[in-house]
Amino acid sequence: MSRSNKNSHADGSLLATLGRLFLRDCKHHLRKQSDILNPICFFVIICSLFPLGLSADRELLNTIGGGIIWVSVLLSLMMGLNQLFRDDYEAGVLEQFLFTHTSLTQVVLAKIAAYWCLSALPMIILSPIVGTAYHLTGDQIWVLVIGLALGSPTLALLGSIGSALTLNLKNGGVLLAILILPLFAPVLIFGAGMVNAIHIGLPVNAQLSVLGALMFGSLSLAPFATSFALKNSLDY
Amino acid sequence: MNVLLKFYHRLGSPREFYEISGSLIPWFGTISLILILTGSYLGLVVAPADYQQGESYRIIYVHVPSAWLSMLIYTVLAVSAMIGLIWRMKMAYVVMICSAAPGAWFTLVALITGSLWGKPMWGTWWQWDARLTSELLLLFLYIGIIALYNSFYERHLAEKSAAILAVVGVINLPIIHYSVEWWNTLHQGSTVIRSDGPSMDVRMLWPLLIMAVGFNFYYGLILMLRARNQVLIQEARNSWVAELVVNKGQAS
Amino acid sequence: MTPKQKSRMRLVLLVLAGLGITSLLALNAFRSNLMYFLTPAEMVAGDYPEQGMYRLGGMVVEGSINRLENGITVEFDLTDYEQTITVRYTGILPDLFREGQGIVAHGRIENQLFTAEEVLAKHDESYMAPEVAEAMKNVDMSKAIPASATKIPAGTTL
Repeated sequence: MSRSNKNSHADGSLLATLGRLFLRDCKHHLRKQSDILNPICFFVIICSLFPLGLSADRELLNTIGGGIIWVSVLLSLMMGLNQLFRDDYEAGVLEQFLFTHTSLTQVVLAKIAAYWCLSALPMIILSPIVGTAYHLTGDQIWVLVIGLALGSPTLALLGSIGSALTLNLKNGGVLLAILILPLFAPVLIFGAGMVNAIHIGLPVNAQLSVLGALMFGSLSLAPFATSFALKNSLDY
Repeated sequence: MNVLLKFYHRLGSPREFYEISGSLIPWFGTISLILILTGSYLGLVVAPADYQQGESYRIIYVHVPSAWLSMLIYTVLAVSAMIGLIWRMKMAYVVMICSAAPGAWFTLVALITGSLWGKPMWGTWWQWDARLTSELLLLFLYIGIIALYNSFYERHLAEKSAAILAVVGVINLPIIHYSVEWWNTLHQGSTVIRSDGPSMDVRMLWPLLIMAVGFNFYYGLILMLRARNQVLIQEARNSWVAELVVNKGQAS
Repeated sequence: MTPKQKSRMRLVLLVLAGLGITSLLALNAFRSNLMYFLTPAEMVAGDYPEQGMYRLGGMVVEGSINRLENGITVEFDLTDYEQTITVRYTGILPDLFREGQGIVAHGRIENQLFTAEEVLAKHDESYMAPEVAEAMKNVDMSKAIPASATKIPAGTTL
């Protein structure tokens, strides 16, 4: 792998390198299926616990449904984030990347993309089913899915910063939550707000724009912050 | 300019910082005490009651300076984090980490006094509007920085990690300040910092400004006290600290 | 340019493009109002359905406060100087609640009547001594423009 990455700066191979790294990460995740399945099961389980704990009142579930699904996605994604770089870190692969001058930003981007495809995407696909169980209307489910699609990349990108910062800490899990959940708050506010707004007939353009802005903003900046944090954690 | 640069370099050395701050501390202490006492007297006794809120508005003299300071301290923290990351200046990290706890406290004071003010005036202790929520997030950010810093054994890792988080968190500052303009919030707009001048009676405004300056000096004082301790801990193996301790011991 | 510079250049351009899109979207978001509350005019224009809770913000119309017989239920008109909606509220009102005051009510609308579950007073950002406020009111009177009749300029917080 190191040989092929050495000339990654050659013309046009930026995307090719990214693609190879992406496939590598996907394969890695697919081999360790608990990595992907656990957060998804977690997501479905918390979503089904709320109606049990509260009540099955139709109007109540409709009001809180959007928020609960969003919070569950947030928490489930965060669980997986703890593992985002850990396997590669412990196997020494991250150091290999550094020694072979592979751009860590690319590594980060590929990892986030693979993580998003295998963790966030299944949750987005499941969300209409969960939404129906919360008696969300058709409009609300649409807005929920679109919101999750726009918001979850931001979550993964921002979360990767926290994941990189807590990489070489033994008890990183709780700390990771303290670091990144506040950063997740804006996404949650606009994403869940949208589900409620559409229900009472308010326009949701503004929220969509904010979610889009957050996504592009974090897409252009977060990979650099993450790779910088990774280098720091590797003490490079 | 040259003098300033020289001063900057002197402050950059832990030992020089320790000496300079030692001579500044009594000044900062006295000035902040005088200003806060004067401000409190003018604000609580001399300033007239408000035409709408009566006497209750006087909590502004604690609330607003704390809220300003919560943002100012974060700015200081983030700028020093940047300086630390770019120029690898030792003292920058000291300033950064020593600012985090005071910042968190002032944010908490702003939130609590705001809550106490909100109950009688708005009719609620807490509302999830943009200003209040973003200020709460600022508190979480401070806590995150402190928690991250404290969870590393190696200081250089702790410093850099906390600095990265601090820089990422800067995005929250404009959101707090402009939240009242961008959104229809329950919290009112800015009174003092606005394009057409402060919309406040002069007799009410002066005590507020005096309090704000006093609070700033108090922060400076706390920062120096904390930074001096931090410097001593970090430089414990250097000869000047040893000399200092020995001399202090002999003097007493 | 060496290949390395070229790829770095491309990266910088990509990041700049990303930030450009970000600011465009952000500007678009701030042009449309991200509302904490609706105004009566928005409410009437939007023809909002009767399910769901809203926050409604506006000024309490002078002389419209009407205490019902049970003693704790209040009815008053809320206006943004374009439309007026009657609000009914049972409970303790905040200190600042009075005629001409900006308030935010949280509740639902039924048959043109807004039933609030919570009423919050919004205070403005100006602080004045009572005698100054009185003096300013007199100046307004002498110009024969009732303060309440002037339309609120856009951007003023109620």
